[in-house]
Amino acid sequence: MSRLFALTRRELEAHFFAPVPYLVMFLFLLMTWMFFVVQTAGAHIRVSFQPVFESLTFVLLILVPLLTMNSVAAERAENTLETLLTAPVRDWQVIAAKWLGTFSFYLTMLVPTLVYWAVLVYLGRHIGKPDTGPVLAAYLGAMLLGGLYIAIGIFASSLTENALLSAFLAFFTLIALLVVAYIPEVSSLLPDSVGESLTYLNQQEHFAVFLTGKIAAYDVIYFVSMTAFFLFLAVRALESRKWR
Amino acid sequence: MPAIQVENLTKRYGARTAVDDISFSVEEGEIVGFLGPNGAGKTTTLRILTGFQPATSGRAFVAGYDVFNEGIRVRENTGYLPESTPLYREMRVHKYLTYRATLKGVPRRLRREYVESAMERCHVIDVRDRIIGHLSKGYRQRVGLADALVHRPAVLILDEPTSGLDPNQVRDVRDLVKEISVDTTVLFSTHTIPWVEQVCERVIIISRGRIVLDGTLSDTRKRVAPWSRVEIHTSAVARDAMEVLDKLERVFFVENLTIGERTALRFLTSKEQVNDACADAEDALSSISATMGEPIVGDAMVEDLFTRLTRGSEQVVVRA
Repeated sequence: MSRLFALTRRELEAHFFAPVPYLVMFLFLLMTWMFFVVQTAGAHIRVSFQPVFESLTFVLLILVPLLTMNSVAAERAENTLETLLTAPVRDWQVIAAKWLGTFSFYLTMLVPTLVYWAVLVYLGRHIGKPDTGPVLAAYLGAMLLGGLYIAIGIFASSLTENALLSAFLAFFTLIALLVVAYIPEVSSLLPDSVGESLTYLNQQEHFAVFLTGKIAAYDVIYFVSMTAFFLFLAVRALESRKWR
Repeated sequence: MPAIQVENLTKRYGARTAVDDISFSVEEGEIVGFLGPNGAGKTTTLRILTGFQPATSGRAFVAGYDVFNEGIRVRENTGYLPESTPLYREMRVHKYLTYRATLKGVPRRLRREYVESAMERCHVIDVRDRIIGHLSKGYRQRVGLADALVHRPAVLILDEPTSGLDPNQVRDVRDLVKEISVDTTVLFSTHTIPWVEQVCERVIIISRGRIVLDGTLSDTRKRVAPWSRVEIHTSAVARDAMEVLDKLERVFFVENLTIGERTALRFLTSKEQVNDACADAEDALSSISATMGEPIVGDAMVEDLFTRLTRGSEQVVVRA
């Protein structure tokens, strides 16, 4: 346990020693702020928290690959992977720590968005504050969505030693999950059951449910299982050194 | 059981055989040089011993544990310094070593003590708060060594610990390894011979994935004792001179040492026949109407054996 903790801590700290994560955090806050302002500062004020995370599926599409691109790829390129894996740690611990560390950084990125909630509570003091439940549901959704994106990013990073390539791989994997079900040519060609499966894989379908304020086991299971699946793939990619 | 035991280890990458059925052992407390030219299979062997890569076939034990089935145990008891000393450049020296000690399972209450003593042993105390990326290569190498021994392993495996260092740094690291070997089994790879002669008791020479020599240094010296090395200068072009000398019966392993204009060659010959061999050489060179300067005769050295074993056609396995 102390090993996993030490690995995770170093992973999180690495984010604070590099410039890119700060840039990612800045862009994240800028984008969520824009969506927030556009929705709330217009003529029709909506006292709703939803807009802040409404485009999260797309915002993170670009930002998470930047956050995870170095994760395993840089260790491969710098050869520190050899030092790391010849310490008495298991491959799954390394991947788990990479995920936990990046996820912790993502959570710190989410913290400042609580300000928008506070602003809404203040603005809505006469016309009705936003309900707490839906806001919490939105946060849970944002965490699950981020967790899945990070898992996909780490998987992509574990495939190559080129950070840029890994960012592109993550980006295209995320795009693929998102759009496949929406391409009419694809869905019309496929039997209904397959089309439904593709829709099931679409992260936006599930995330949108959280934004409506609902927390359904169906959607939670989607995110948890998909995250676990991509982390499993990342572990296998790390192990590939043994049979390549 | 020896500290390191390797039995019929083979590693293939597709059609290429990097390590070809090698066996050797290192006794507890020994310091052994693993010698070979680049690409001979040194790094592959060390990576197998540290569990970074599996072997295609064969068995290996380190510190009494099976490398393939008890990988975690092996790694807990082994300190490994990979080639080129990869380190997290953004971390500070003592933080890095504390992190590594934690990974290697040093209990919390002992961590500070272990890290301090590793820093002391490797003479990096004065840079303990510096960022690793800002250190000189010599210091980084010592931080790497401190990392390898921070958990006080029974076995230390070092891959080319002096590559890329200047002569002073090489001497520092060499002395350090010698100090460490007092209470630790050390297996290190290198392609430079003086290193081995100064710190090792035993040497294993590997060439093209096979062990071509495994013996103590004194045995190795005995083995080269009946040989002389002869250096000659000649007016002939190096290639022509080597061609005629290679045909001579008493002249072995002709090497080209030419740096400037004048052709310089070196060959080995048995001590008893050294005068005859020189005469043969002079005759042979005059047959291609070239002159030969006064030959410089000396004792053959371990280095000559190394070159001969790793480049020559004759490959003899000698066991101590």
